[in-house]
Amino acid sequence: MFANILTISFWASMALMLLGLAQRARLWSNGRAQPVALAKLFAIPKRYFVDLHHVVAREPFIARTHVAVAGGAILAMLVIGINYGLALYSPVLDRVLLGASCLMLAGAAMVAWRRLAPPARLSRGPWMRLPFTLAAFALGAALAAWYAPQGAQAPALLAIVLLALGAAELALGIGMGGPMKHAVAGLLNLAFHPRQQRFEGKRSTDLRPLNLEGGDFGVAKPADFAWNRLLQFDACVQCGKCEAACPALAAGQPLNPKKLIQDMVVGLSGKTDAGYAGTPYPGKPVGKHGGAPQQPIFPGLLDADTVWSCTTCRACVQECPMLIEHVDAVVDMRRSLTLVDGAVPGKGAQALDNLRHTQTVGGFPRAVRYHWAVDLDVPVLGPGDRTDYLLIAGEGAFDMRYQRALRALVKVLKHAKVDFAVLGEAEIDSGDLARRLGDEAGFQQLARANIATLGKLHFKHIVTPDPHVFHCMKNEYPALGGRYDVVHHSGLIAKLFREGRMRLKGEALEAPLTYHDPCYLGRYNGELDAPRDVLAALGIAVREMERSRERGRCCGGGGGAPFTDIPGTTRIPDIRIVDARTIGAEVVAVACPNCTAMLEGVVGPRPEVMELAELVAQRLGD
Amino acid sequence: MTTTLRIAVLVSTARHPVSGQPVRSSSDAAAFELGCGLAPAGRLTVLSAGMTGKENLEEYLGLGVEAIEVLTVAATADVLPALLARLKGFDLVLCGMRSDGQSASGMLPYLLAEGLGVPLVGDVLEAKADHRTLTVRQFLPKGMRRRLEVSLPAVLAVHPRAPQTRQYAYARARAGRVTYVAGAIGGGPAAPAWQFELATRRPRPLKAKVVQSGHSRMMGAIGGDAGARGGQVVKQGSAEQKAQVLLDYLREHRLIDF
Repeated sequence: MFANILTISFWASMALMLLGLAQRARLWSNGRAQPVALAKLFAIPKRYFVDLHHVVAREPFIARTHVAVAGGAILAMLVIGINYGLALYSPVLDRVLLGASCLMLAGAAMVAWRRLAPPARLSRGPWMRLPFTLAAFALGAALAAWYAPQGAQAPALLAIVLLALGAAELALGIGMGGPMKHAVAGLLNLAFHPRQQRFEGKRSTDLRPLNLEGGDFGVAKPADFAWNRLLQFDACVQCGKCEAACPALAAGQPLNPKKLIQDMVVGLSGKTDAGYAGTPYPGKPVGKHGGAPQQPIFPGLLDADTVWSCTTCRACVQECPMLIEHVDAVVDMRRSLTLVDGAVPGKGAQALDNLRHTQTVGGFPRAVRYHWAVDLDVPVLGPGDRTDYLLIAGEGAFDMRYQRALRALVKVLKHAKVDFAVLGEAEIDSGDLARRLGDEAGFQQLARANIATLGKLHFKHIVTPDPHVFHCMKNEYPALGGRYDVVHHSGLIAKLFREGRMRLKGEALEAPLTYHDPCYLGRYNGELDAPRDVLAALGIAVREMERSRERGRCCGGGGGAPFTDIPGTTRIPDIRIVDARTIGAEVVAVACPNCTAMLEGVVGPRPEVMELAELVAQRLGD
Repeated sequence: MTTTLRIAVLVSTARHPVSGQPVRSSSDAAAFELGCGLAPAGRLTVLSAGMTGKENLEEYLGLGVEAIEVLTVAATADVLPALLARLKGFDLVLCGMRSDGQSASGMLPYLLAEGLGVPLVGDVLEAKADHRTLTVRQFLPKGMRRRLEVSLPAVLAVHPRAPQTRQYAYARARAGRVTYVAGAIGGGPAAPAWQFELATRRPRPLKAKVVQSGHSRMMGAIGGDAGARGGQVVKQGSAEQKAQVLLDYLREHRLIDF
C-alpha cells in the first residue's frame, strides 16, 4: 500500500516536472532560432563533472555541499524511480536509498548552516526555504527507505507528507520558476551552451559577429536573444559570485550582473522584478521594472545606464558556476542601443563619430600616430618589405604618457636586435572600442580595412603592447577572415629573455612591486605568466594583490567605460589602487595603455605606475 | 497644430577637418534637430542641392532623416535657383548658417530669404511654434541671447551651437532613402565669379608683456616673499583678521559694496 503510494507519487512528480519543463521551454522558444544539437545532451555528464566542477571547486565548502545535496538527491530519485517507479520494491535498493537520503540530509544541513548568516551576495527570498524543502525530501526518503520493507503504516503518512514537500520543490521548480529551476535549466545549458568551445579547453572570449546585411542589430527585446541564451539565463543560481567580482557594482554604478541576469529571466517570463531578493542595482529601487518577451528591454525592463556601466572585464563570467555569459548579453543589448537608437551616453558617441570619420578614437590625424618615434629610426613596413614582427602601437600612441612606454619598447626590441617595423600612417584603430560600445558596423568596417591593409604586407607576427588590440586581432578578426599570429609585448620580451638576447645592468628594483593583470590579456587570453616571467628575469619579486591573475580586478578602462562614464559612488581605478596600497606596493607594473591611463589618473599618494617595457628599458645593458 | 506647418530643412555635405571625409555639417544637423522639435522627423522635407552621392549624406540619414531629396545641380552652377523653385509654399525653411567645407560664404540664407520674400532670422538656437508665430532664441556673442517672435513664413539660419543630441545610428542610415530630382537652372554660373584660395586659419598666440615663469607671475600677483608688490600673504592672525584683510581687498577693488 505504502509502496504503491510511492509509485504513484513518483510518476505524478515526474509528470509535473515534464509539464513544467514544457511550459518553460515554450518561453525559451520565444528566442531566436539556433540549431538544436540533441547529441550534446550526452556531453552533459562530462561537462558537469569536469568543466563545471572546476569553477565550483574554487569554493570547496560549497562544492562539498553541492556534491552531498545534488548527489544524494539524484541517487535517491534514481533509486525511487527504479525501486518504486518500476514497482520492484527491493529491500537492497531501500538500503541504498537510506544511504543516499542520509547523504542528502547532511548536505541539506550544510546548506542550512550556510543560510544561517548568508553572505550579502546570496539571494534570499525563496532560496531561504531551500534547506527545509531539501531536508524534507531527504527525511521523507529516509523514512520511506526505513519503513517500507517493514510494512509499517504509522509513520508512512509523515514520510509521504515530507516527500511531497520536497518533491514539490523539485518537480514544480522548473515550471513555477522556483530556485530548483536551476537544476534542469543548468544541465540543459551545459548541453546547449552558446559557447561550445568553452568545453573544448578554449577560452572563447570573442564576440559574435552580427549579420548586418541581414538586419541583425543586436537585442532590443528579450525574444531577440537566441533561445539557448534565454535558457542560460534560467540557469542562474543567484549565488552572487558575479556580483562580488563586478568592479562596476563595487564602484556603486547601477549594474549588478546577478540582477541583470534575473531581469532577463523576468523579461523572458513576462513578470516584474518585485520578486527579486538579492542586492539591487546601486541607487535603483527593486520592483519598478518589468518586461515581456516581445516588449522592448529599454526602458521597461532595464535602464540603459545599467548596460553602459559594464567594463566587459568578464570577471562575472569567470566566476559564474553556471557558465553564464553576462558580457555577451550586455554587448548584444548595447548593439541595439547604438545601431538602432543611436543612444550612446557620454563621450561614447563622439568617440564613435571620430572612429567613423578619422579611424582613430581621439579624432587625430593618422599621420601623427608615430610622431613619438621620429628620432628612433623605426622602419615603416611598405608593400614589398619583409619583417618578423609588425609592431602595432594602437590608440596609446597618441597619449603622451604611453608614448614613453612605446619608446621603451622600441629600445628593448632594438637591444635584442628584433627585426620589426611599424605600419606608420597606414595604421588605423583595431575597432575594439567600437565593438564594445555596440557599434558593430564601425567595428566591421575598421576590421575589414585593417585586414585589407595587412593582407598586402609581409610579416610573420604582430606584436602590440595594447591587450585590447591583441585580443581584437587575435580572436575577433578570424571571424572576418584575418588570421594572424599576434603576440603581446610581454610575451615577446619574455621570449627574448628566455633566448638570452637581453643583457641587463644595474641592480634589481628594490621597491615593493605588484603587477596588475589587464583583463583583456589575463582573463580574455590567459597570458598570466609572461609578464611575471619578465619581472622575474629582472630580478623583481612580485607581491601579488589579493585579486590577481585570472581574478584580477579591472582598472575601469575597458568596454568603453571611460567614454560612457556612468557615475557611481567611487571610481574603479581608485579601488584598484587601494588593492595595491593594501599590500604595500610602491610600484604597480602595468601592461596595457588603458590600465596605465586609468591607474595613473588616481589622485593622492599612490604607487608609481610603470609599464613593463619601461621597467625593462631602464635596466638595459650595452 | 504645429504639425500642419510645412517645414523644409536644407542640408549639405561637409568635410572633416582632419581626415577630409564627408561628414555632416554641424549647423545643418542642428537645423534638422530644431525642425524635429517643431514637427515629427517624418513630416520634414529634407533637401540638399548639388551633385552629392548617398554615401555623403549618410551622416544625416543616421541622425534620423527618413528621406533626403537631392536637387541635382551641376557642380559649377549656383544652387540658389533650384532651391528657390523647390521651396515655394513652405512655411518654414531651416538651414545652417553656412556650409562647412564648401564655398561657406554664408550668403545662402540671405539670398534665399530675399528670393522667397520672407524674413530671415540668423544664429537661431531654439524655436517654438504657436500657430503661425515662432518664438526664436538667438545666439549673440559673449553668452548673450535674444528672444524674437517671427511670423511665418520665414527662413531660420541655425547656429552650430544649437543643441544637438541626436546621434548617428547605423540602422537608420541604412534605412534612409535619397532621391534625386533635377533642380531648376537659372541665373548666371556662380563659380567663375569667385576667387578661390586656401583657408589658412592659424591662431595667433597672445604674447605676454614680460616673459616670466608661471610661478614667478603668480608670486608677483600675490606679493610673494620678495616684497608686497601686488598683494600680501596673510599667514598670521585669527580667522576674523584674515577675513578682514580679504574684505578690505575686495572693498578696495570695488568688488563688493557693503
